[in-house]
Amino acid sequence: MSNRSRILLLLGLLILASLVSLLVGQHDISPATIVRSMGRSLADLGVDMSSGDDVVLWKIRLPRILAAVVVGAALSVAGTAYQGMFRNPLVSPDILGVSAGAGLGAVLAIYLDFSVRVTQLFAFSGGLLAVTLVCAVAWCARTRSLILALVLSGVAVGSLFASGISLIKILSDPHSQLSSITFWLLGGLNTIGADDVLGALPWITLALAPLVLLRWRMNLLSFEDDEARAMGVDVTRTRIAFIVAATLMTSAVVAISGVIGWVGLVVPHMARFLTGPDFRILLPVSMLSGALFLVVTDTAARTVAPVEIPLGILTAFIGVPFFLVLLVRGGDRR
Amino acid sequence: MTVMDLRALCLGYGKREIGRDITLSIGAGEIVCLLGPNGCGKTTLLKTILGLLPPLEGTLHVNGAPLAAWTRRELARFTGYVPQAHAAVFPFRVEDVVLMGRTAHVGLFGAPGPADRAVARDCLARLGILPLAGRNYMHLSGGERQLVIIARALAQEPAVLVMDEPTASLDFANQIRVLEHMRGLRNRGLSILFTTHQPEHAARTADRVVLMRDGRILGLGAPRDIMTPESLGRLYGLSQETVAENLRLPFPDPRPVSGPGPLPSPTSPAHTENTRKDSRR
Repeated sequence: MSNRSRILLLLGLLILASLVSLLVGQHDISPATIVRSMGRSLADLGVDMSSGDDVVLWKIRLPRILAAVVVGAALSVAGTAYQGMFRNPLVSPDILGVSAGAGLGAVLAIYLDFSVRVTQLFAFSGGLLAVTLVCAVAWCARTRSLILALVLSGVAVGSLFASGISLIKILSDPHSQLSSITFWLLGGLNTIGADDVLGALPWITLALAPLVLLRWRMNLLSFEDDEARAMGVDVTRTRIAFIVAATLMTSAVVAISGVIGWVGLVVPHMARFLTGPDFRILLPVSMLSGALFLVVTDTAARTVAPVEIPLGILTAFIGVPFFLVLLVRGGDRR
Repeated sequence: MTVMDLRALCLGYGKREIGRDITLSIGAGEIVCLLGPNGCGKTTLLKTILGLLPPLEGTLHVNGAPLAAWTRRELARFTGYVPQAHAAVFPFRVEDVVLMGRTAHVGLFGAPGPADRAVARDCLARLGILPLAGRNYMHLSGGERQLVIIARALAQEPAVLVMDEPTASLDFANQIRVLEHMRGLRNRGLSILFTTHQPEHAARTADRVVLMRDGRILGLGAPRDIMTPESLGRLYGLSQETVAENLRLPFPDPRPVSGPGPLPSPTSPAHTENTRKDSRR
C-alpha cells in the first residue's frame, strides 16, 4: 500500500469513527436526524436549540469529537517528535516533565479556587515552566551527552512536581477540591467546549509549523549527534526547535484535557508500524492515527458503561495491551 | 593540491589537552592512515578535522580556507564522515539512510527530491549494494552496514572522506571489500583519512601513514619507508622482534631489524610528493 493510500484510509476511518461517535451515546440520535440538522445548518436556517437532539449534537457531541481529534493528533505528534529527537522509542511527551508541570499548575489553581479559564492558564504555564527548568538544568550539566542530561533532569524535576501535587492534594478540601483535582489528573474530554478547543488551536498550529518545516532533519537526529553534524545539521538548534514545538503542543493540549496518558507513547508506535520511521510521512500518519485513536477511545469512554469512564483509564486499558502486542509481534519493524 | 592543512595543531576537550603539535597535510586523491595505540588521540584528531571539536591552538585549513570560516552545511559538502558501523534506533530503509547524506544539498526547510534519490541510488550502485536499497538498515550485517554508511557519506559528494576504523568488527572478506572500495574511491580522485588498529591495512591501503602516540606525531611517510619493526615497536611499546614475528607487511623490510634508522621528518614536502607519485604507478 502506498503512503498516500494509507493516509486516505486513515482519513476515511477517522470520518467514519466520528460519524459513529455522533450517533451513539446515552441519548440516541438517528442518522436521519443528523442529516436533517446538518442540512438546516448548511442552509443557514439556524439550529433549533429547543430540540434536544440539536443541543446534544451541536453543543455536546460535535465539540467533544473535535476535541478528541485535536488532542489525539497533538499528543501523538508530540510523542513522535520526542521519540525521534531522543532516539528512544520508549519516550513519551511526559519525558521532560510537561505533564507534572501542567498538573501542578492546574492543581494549584483548583486549590486556590480559581476559575476554569485560570486553571487552564496555570496548567499551560506550569507545563512550559517545568520543561524550561529541565532544559536549563540540562544545559548547565551538558558535560558529555545533552540527551542523558535532559532525561535525568526531566525525571528529577518531574518527580519534584509530582510531590508538589501530592502535597496540595493533602492540603486540599476533600469534599470539593480533591475530587476535581483527581478528575483533572485523570484527564478527559467531557468538560471541553468548542471554545476551549479553539483557544488551544493557535498554539498547536504554531507548534506544528517547525515540525512540518524541519520534517526531513528530524530523520537525521536519529543518528549520533556527531554523524548528524557531519551531514550538515545544526543538531543543538534543531533539537531545541523540536523540544520547544513539542512542549508547546503538549502544554496547550494538557491545559484543556488534563493528563491523558499513553496516547503519545502508543500512537507513534502504531504509526511507525504502519509506514516506517521517515518523519515526513510519520507526521501526518501519527496525527491521523492519534485523532482516530482518541475518537474511538473517547466514544467508548462515554458509551460502554452506565457511568462515564475517565478517558485516561481507558487509553491505558486499550493502549497498554496494544503496545505489548506490538512489542512482542512487531520485532524491530516498529 | 592540499585539501587539509594542519599546522601546529593542539587538540582536546575544553581544558583537557589530547594532542599537541600536529602538523599534517592531506593532498587531493591520497589515502592517509592514522596508526597508533588506543587513546593516542586519533579519534580526537578526526573530530577536530570534521569541525566537531574546536582546535585549542594552531591553524586548520580546509581547502585553503580556515575551518572557522566554513558553515556546517558547506563543510558537509566537502568532508564526508564514515563512523564505525553501528546499530540504528529506528528501522530506516537503506535507501533513506543514504538519502540522509543529501541533507547538506537541500534547503533548511526542504527535503530531498528525485534528483537526490538518483544520487543516493548511484552511490549504492558504486559500492555494489544497490540490491540492498529497499532493505531495513537494522537487519543488515555489520559489513553491509559499513558499506551503507560509506554510501551515505558519498551521497554528500565530498572531496574528502574521514573514516573511523572502517574495518573494525568486520569479517575477513568484508575487511578486504571495504579496503578495495577505499582504493577505488581514491583512484577516482577522493582523498581519504582513516584510522585503523591493523598495520597491514595501513600498509596495503594508505599512500602515507601517520604514526601517532600520546597525542603527538612520531613519524609520517610512505608505509614502505616508515613502517619498520623499529618504528612500529616504538609506536606500540613492543620490541622489534615481537613486531617482526607477528606482522607480515606486503613489502620487504627496507632495513635490517638490528639497524634502527632515524624516522623521516613529519614535515617533508619533497618526500610527500615522491610518495604520492609512487603510489599512483
